[in-house]
Amino acid sequence: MSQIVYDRLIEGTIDTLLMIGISSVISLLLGLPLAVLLATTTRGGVFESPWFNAGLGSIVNVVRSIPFLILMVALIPFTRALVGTSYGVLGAVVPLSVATIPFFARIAEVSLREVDRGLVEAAEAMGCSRWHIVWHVLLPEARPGIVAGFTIAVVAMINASAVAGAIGAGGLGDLAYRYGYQRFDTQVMVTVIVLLVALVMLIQLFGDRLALFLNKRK
Amino acid sequence: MSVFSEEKTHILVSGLVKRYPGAQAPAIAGVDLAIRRGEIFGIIGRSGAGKSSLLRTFNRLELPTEGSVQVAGQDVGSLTGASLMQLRRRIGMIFQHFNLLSAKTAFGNVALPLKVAGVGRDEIERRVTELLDLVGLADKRDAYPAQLSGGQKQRVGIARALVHRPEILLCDEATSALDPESTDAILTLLRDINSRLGLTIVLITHEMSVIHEICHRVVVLDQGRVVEEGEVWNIFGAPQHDVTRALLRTLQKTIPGDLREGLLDQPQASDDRLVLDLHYTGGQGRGPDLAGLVEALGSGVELLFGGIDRIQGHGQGHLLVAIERRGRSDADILARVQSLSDDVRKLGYVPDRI
Ligand SMILES: Nc1ncnc2c1ncn2[C@@H]1O[C@H](COP(=O)(O)OP(=O)(O)O)[C@@H](O)[C@H]1O
Ligand SMILES: [Mg+2]
Repeated sequence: MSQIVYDRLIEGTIDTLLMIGISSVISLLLGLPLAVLLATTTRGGVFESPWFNAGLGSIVNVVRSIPFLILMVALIPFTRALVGTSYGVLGAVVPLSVATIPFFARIAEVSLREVDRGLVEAAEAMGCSRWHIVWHVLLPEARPGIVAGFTIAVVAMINASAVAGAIGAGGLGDLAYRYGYQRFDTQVMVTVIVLLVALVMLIQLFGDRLALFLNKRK
Repeated sequence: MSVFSEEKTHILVSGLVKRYPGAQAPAIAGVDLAIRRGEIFGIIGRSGAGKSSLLRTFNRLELPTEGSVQVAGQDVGSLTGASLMQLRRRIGMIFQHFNLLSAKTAFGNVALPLKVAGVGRDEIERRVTELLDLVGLADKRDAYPAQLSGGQKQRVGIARALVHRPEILLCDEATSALDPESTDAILTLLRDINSRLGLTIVLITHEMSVIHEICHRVVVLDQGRVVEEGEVWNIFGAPQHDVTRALLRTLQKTIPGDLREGLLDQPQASDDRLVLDLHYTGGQGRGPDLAGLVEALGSGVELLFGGIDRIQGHGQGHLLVAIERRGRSDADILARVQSLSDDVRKLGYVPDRI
């Protein structure tokens, strides 16, 4: 493998890690509040508000139903307006986050909804406000499930980042596309696959360990 | 209302109706109750009778549809926001399935009510330690609920319920998920708390033995209505309503099979003995007077089966006795024992030797 290819692989890996890292943080910071909103405004939730829930739910569903490639293209003007470019790491962070936020929110919503109704009731009986219940009951009790769900979301994001790479975002996806698809360079292709597999395995392993550690139910 | 003017009334329920949306029959269909300060008050009834619905209006987990609930003179239904939170801190509650937070240790669970009330860290440390001590779990402060037995979990629940030093403790089937030994221990703890801290305790149970064990007064609910109410010994000694009798059946010892099968409708031989069931309700200070029986009937009296229980100082129960007739008529024998128990029933006859 030439020095140039080697450098590109290093660069691509760093770009992919940056893309995933930044988008993960954004998805967590925005996806979790969205999940709390979705979970608590349903019927019987602590901030029960079925109409609001139905409205928010529809928006989430619309975004989730658009295939990532199309979403990315459709978002180009928005991405430019927000970060000034639709290329490179920053250009990829916007669509990756937009796609992951609702996906992660739906998974986290399920964990939040599964918190035993009796716990909420006990909290009410001890004089907790609704925000207390979210903060001290729902989030801690759902934490193992949320961590597991976040792991799934990040892995799905790696998948999407390769698609993003192919249309100008850079990173490992870009390399694989250019060397593997356009030049039939199998060696680069295989290296990229190995790197991606290793990345996914590491994230999954870490996520599983963390979820297990946080789960005090056993 | 006259009861209310009494200093002693702690929780006053008037004309309470609770209707859930979509449900046909109301869960509570007009209940009036006065629970006294410092008593252990039991609520019994079949499943679905409305016990939980009633209890949950006391700390306004449920809003009354009609009527009112007053706690220490304060109308609970009108409270909102901060004043509702204040009320709930004066009323502790424990649950059948404990409802402990799995992600927090015993200490964390007991500390939570204080934390959300803005109590300082040192004060929390002091109070939680004191409460864990009280319930006998000082050594489990760092254990997670999953590492505790059922009885220990309920102790954490009790500590959590008491951490604000409430004046009322509500217990919804608090021992129903526990084995008999833990049940006894928890009941002892509750009785202890009641007498030491002077707490008013309202408890729901479907186990008659629990009422028998620690309650002072009891109300029997059926289909959202009060069917019977009063001192426990009174209700247990002389239940007036079918529902109460059905609930109490679980406590009664039934006549052993061999005796029941050996009972004859009519005497077959002249020395067959008459079997009577003497019932003692515990009223009028009348207990089973054995010497009196022998005096009234002569020496041919055999105690076949039965038992006397003591509830709140009143002895009550049943005695099955076989009486040698010696030529006397049944009516004559019945007349002789009539004044010795609260109720006498003729069950049949048994041979001389059984
Ligand atoms: N949240 C609720 N929504 C609708 N119906 C309810 C609700 N809670 C209780 N009920 C109904 O009210 C009746 C009384 O229930 P409950 O008070 O739980 O009885 P108990 O505690 O004596 O078993 C039952 O018919 C039950 O199905
Ligand atoms: Mg119930």
